[in-house]
Amino acid sequence: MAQFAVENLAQVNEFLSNNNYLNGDLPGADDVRIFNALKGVPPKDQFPEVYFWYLLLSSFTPAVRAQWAPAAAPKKDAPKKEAPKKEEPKKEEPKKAEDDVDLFGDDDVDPEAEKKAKALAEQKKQEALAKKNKPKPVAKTIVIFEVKIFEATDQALLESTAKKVKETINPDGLTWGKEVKFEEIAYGAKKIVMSMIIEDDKILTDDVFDQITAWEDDVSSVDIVSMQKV
Amino acid sequence: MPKDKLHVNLVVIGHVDSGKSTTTGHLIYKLGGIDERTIKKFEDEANKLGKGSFKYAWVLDNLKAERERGITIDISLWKFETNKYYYTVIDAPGHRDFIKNMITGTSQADVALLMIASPAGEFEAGISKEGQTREHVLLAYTLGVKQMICATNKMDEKTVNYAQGRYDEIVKEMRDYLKKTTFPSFPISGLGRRQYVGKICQLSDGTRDQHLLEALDAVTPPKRPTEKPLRLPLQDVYKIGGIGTVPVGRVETGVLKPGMVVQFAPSAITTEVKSVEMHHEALPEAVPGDNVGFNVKNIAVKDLKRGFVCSDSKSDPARECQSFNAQVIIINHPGQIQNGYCPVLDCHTAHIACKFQEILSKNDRRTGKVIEEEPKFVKSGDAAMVKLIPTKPMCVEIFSEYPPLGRFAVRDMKQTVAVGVIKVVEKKELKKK
Repeated sequence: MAQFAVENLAQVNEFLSNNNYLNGDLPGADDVRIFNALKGVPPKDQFPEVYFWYLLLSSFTPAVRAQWAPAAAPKKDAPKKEAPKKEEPKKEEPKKAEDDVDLFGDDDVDPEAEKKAKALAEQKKQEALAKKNKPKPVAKTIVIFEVKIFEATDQALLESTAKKVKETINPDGLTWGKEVKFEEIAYGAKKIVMSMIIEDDKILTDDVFDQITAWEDDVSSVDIVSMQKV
Repeated sequence: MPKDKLHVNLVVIGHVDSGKSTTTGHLIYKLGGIDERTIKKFEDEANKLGKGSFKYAWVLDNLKAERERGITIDISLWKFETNKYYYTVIDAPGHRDFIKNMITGTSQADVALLMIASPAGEFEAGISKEGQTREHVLLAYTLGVKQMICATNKMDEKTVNYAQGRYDEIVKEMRDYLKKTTFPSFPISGLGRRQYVGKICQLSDGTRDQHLLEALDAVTPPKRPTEKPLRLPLQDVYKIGGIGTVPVGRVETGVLKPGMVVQFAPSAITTEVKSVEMHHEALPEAVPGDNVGFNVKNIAVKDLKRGFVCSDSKSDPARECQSFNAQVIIINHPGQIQNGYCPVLDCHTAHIACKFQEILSKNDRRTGKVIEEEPKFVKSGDAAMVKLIPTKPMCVEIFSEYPPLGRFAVRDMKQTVAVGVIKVVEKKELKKK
């Protein structure tokens, strides 16, 4: 392991350009030591890697950072978000095993150990199953689009149309972006620019746009500005 | 960002899990696509999110959350800067409507970045018939993307471990494949899984490969087709008090200037342009990529509409078509397509039903070679030369002359069932007045 020193930030910077933390993939004692030794934010231009690393570390509370300090055992499983919940119901089983122990006093087999092993196996099975059943992250797309209305210089109508879109079209799988802009086209005419986040499997863009263009007295057309994976 | 750098639109494509999103994220993270304010803002949320993950993943997770909430529109448009160019980047979504958007949409990609995962099995899965690599490459080509960068990703994977042999194998395979789809040259970049952009990938024998940044800088500057005759498909037509009739659209080719006598197709009306504006500012001339409104003399709003094409009456004016022949690739149709099929075509801003008058031949998707003359039907996966007749007056062009007016999406059951590239246009004779 390289010995990092706050006096030699160039070396730290070099190391961080290839690693996420000074201790590798997960933060550890070296990270805390250097972090605490630094007096303030390192200069971004000179040590960009150190800068970003510093920003990252500073987002953790001092208490969390302190946990890394004594040769922090690599908590490889910690980031897996759903692990803790699954374990709770399992605790009952070993208890039952304890109750049973006295009834069968023979010492040829250790029923407790056996049951524990069984429970463990069961738990592992459950965990594997949970992993399998864990819903894949839902594929979503962010769609930026513009709505053009005939009375394109009428600011009130632009605003009310945008509001109407958000209020009346709310199918499952669609979330409206918060911001709505009114962009200049030409000669004082403006268009509505807004965004929606849609679940790929649930929403077709035409379904949404057909509803908007159905207000044919007001709406001239709808065009997509960009589609991008979220 | 400085204005003297050229704009390049980049689309990132590839098989799922090839590292598309992570690389895209890394590009903008490393190259100034996220401002410091935004990064600072994420710090507040970091205690709740993404502890223990990679630092890039941490920022990107937050950025993703930000985008998902859609608080600002601008954060959704990702940009980054290389030494030479100013890139706007699209991380291709898997959404079914994306293809249509690529064909008719406003942001035409100049360069495609194809991500390939190098570990054993992953590359093969991506390039297999079922994989998305082939489909994406073919579509990129069909849609007129001229340049491609191939990035072999995950070179640091244990099973790959920067092995020269594996790398060469992938390079050879991709070269063979891409050659047939007429991407004659393309830089290839070796990437690690974590440190993508700023690092040069050392292969096991010590040779250095071009890295992604160099590849992005080595792109041929996209030419904006100003020297071609004017084509401007109309999006909307407004009547504005005190001004008059104002058609609006994006200049695809050529230049639009005040004083120019323009002709509209398919109706063949001509008139003079009084003035041109973009974002409420008068323009001495509008060039390809500009979204403009222009004021025309003596034409009523009802005489023009979306789907019409504005052109210079003195320079190859646009005209109504009688019929056109196109190479059509069926990508997603549940049944068989026969003569007489009449779906809606989206071509530039036109949205018109067109009849498959005659399926002339079935062709090899990549080489175009005829497999079967006058087939009875074609189905998903097939490519065919088809003669189409619009059911209403329509103006289209040959793809090789005016690409944005020469490619279309075939829509049926609200989906893109095929894409097409126009090879021949039979134009209607102009009635001389």
